[in-house]
Amino acid sequence: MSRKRPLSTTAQQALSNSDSLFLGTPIADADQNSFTPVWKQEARDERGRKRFHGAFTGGFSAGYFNTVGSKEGWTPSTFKSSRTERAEKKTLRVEDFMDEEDFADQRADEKLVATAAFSAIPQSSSLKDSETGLQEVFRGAAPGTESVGYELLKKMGWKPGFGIGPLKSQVVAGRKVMLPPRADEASSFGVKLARKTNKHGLGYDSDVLSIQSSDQTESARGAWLAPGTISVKKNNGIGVGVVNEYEDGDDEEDPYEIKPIAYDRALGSKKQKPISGGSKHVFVSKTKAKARAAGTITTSKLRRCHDGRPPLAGFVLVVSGSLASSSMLTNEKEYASPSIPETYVPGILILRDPKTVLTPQLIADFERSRKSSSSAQSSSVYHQQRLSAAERSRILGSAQDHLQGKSVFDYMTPEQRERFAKVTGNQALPPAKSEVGPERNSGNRNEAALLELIPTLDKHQASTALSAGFMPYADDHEKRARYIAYLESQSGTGPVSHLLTFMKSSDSDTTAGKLKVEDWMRELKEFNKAAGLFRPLKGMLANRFTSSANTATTKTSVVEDDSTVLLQGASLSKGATDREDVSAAKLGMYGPLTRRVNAWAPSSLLCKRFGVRVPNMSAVEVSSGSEELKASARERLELLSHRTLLNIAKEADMSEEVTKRLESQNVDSGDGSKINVEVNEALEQKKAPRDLFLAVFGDSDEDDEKE
Amino acid sequence: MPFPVYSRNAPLQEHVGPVHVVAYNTTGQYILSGGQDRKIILWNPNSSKLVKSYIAHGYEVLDIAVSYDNAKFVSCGGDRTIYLWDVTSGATIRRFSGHMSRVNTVDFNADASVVASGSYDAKVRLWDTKSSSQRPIQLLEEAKDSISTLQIVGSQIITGSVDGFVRVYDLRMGQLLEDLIGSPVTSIKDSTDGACLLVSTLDSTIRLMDKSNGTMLQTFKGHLNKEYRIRSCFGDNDVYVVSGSEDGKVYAWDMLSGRVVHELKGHGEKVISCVAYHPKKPQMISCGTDGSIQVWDYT
Repeated sequence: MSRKRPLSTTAQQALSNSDSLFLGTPIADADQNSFTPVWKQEARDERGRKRFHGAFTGGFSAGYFNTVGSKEGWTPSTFKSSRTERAEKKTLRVEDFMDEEDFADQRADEKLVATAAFSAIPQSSSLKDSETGLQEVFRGAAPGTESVGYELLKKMGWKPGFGIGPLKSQVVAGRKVMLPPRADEASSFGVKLARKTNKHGLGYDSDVLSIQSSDQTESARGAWLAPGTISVKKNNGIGVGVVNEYEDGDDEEDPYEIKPIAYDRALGSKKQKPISGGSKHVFVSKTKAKARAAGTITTSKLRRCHDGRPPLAGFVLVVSGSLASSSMLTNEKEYASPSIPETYVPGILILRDPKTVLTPQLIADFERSRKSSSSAQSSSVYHQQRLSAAERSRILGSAQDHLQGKSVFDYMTPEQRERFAKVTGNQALPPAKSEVGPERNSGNRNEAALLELIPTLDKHQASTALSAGFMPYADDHEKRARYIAYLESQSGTGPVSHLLTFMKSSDSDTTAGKLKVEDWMRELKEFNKAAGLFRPLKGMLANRFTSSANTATTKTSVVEDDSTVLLQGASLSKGATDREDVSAAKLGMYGPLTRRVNAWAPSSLLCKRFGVRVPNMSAVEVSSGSEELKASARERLELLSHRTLLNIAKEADMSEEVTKRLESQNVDSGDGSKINVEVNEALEQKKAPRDLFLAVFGDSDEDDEKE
Repeated sequence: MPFPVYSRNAPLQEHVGPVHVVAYNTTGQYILSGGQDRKIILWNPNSSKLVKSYIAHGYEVLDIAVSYDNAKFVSCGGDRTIYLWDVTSGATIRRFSGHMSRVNTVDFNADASVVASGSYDAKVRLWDTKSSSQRPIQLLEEAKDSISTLQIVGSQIITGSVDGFVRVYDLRMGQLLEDLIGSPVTSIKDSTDGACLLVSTLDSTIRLMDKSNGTMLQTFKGHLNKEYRIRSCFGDNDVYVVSGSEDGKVYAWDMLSGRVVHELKGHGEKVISCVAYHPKKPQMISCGTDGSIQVWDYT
């Protein structure tokens, strides 16, 4: 049911209406019934300044006040009309650009800091060494001033020089007088007011442990301060220190100082200082006196443990070696160690079978074998001698070419030794035995080892190289034979051992046609590389080259045919592979034909995000769709290789000089670039021989050549 | 496990116009859907209720991917921008722009630090969510035509493109494996064991390809997919292969044999563009051009 609400609903009335929901705060009641005409309503800010400046009221000066310009109008303040009176430069300060908020920020950032003269805490830089504790406390902020506390004390009857504390009775001029304590005494408050310049902890008690003898104060700076006997010194009652300290309250000892260890000190080697004083009568309880007599406590110094604290309740400290220690603590008897017979030789008895029973017979055997000092391993026990280094190396099978205790002089002849002695003037050289050193290469070469060193060639590659139309080394038939033998051995059609027949079996072998080992190895490696080159040309490569048999002049045909054939080949092959791909896919033969693997380098950030190590791109295997593409890619680079050039030159029977020049060029791209910075071969080499020039550039009719 | 064949009486109908993508979150408790009406809606499939809607895209929403912690998701669409959203607050955390045409597909990597997006402009851009850079970390430009689908699996980025190639970018090996499928690829899904890929193409065939050597292991036919991007997925731990179709039916095949085991009608014979299978229980969702999202249960 809805009922009509009364016309004027004040806030209170509204709140009392139960069936309406109110959000927010109601407008203040006071202004509800007042009415000001529009022209009277003024806009002012919190400071009471006028705002809007007549912007919305219109009128003649609307848009004039508080805008650009000034009361003087739009003439700038910097303008002065006459020639003689120039306008002064209006230097702008920072304050001109700041508004209310900026000022507020600046005020907030300001901080009031007391200067040194007025600071309550005296600065540490103004420490004075001559001051005692009390003087430091009562020092005022500025030098020469005194703090307020100081003045208060003086008003209360304190005089500088006195300490602070209850009056003590002292004997002055024979009479007992009550005097205030002296300023530097530790008895003021029970706190030392001397300046603390050491690095001890707060509760450090320098009196607990101390070195007894005075000679140690200077010389024992290097000693590990063993806890000597404890002296009872002034009991500060605050705490006990942990480490030893010097006597005389000379707190120079820094417990954290790293001292070198002096090994000439011994524990307990210090003089025992007598108990301090003699004037003090120490009341000792009966039990303690008894215990002292028993030897549990010899002196009052031993009442405490090494760290200065008394032992735990129920425990007593005992001096080792005293009656008490032996009788009270140790229940076991001390046995003497067994006496070792003089004939004893240390040895190790090893049982082959752990289950054998050690009978006296066995032990006798062992003894016998040991005495015979042979490492013969007989029966079930054997004696393991201490092995020497040489024996151990032999057992391990390590290389035996170390010196084994030999010296240079063993290998020298006496004449050489004499020369040495003369030169050095030292006659006391060891005698010379003309021994012969161990030989590295014996006369007969180890066949098996050499066979292993033969560079291997892929079987397929070897057989294709064999079937290649062109065999290298046309001029050296023996070499060619060796090459063929190598290929045969690698393709499996010939024995590998046959290769060894080309090699000199030993240094003394002078058979013609046989090679020294090094040459043989080198040649085999050359064959290995050549086999990679001299394959039958197939695919794209076949298109590029024509063999010399087919054309009249080899040089030109190579140059000409190259470019034209190249283009044809490329497009054809590319089209072929594409279609291969697609056709395979159409047939549904998905697999190597439809798959391409390419190298793709992820960026390092990407790898980092994926949490994967950046892959080593040089190790990535790449395969393109067809063999031909791969082969052609490789061959495209190889065509310009030095070897190929050389062989082309040889094949085409170019002039001797050209081939020699090609050979002499020390360029082998396979080894990587060896760039000699100082020599520039291109500039420094001799000009090409004349006939080459003529062949290339000029004809025989020309008289001069351009140089 | 049984296949969810029963649809609910009342599909989830809130989108106006075709729904392009529907995806479960990692636990399967929520669904996100995006459609032509530029809205992304978060649903609770069990109660069939709308939970939240995310409105910011200027053009249709084409793909959605949820991060591993279900706290964020990323969406892309016709406005060439990728939006990274916070699920609970509904605010857009980041926006990535740089693509030259509509972005067809997005995915997160395992820890949601990288967002990959594939677009009609044939490029895949990899964005960094951790830095505030406007430029992608890397750009993959090998495709010759629109990238229609993308998935990041471990340290591999797998893309499918209209040029008929499936490309696997392997970060660990530093390799790009390109497999020619033959016809435009519309959907790619990696199997749970990471050994095979489910590839949907526009010749109404779904192929199961072996990732290691590119051979085809199985084909799934029977559905119709000639014009539109129809998504397919594995179901029930790779037992089933499920796909939408242009004839208004959801198809399910047995993965090993390749036979059709279910043809489920729904969505009023309109194109069913996307299907998704619950990560744990036998439930699946499908969405289509009729604007509805159907939840399928097995009871």
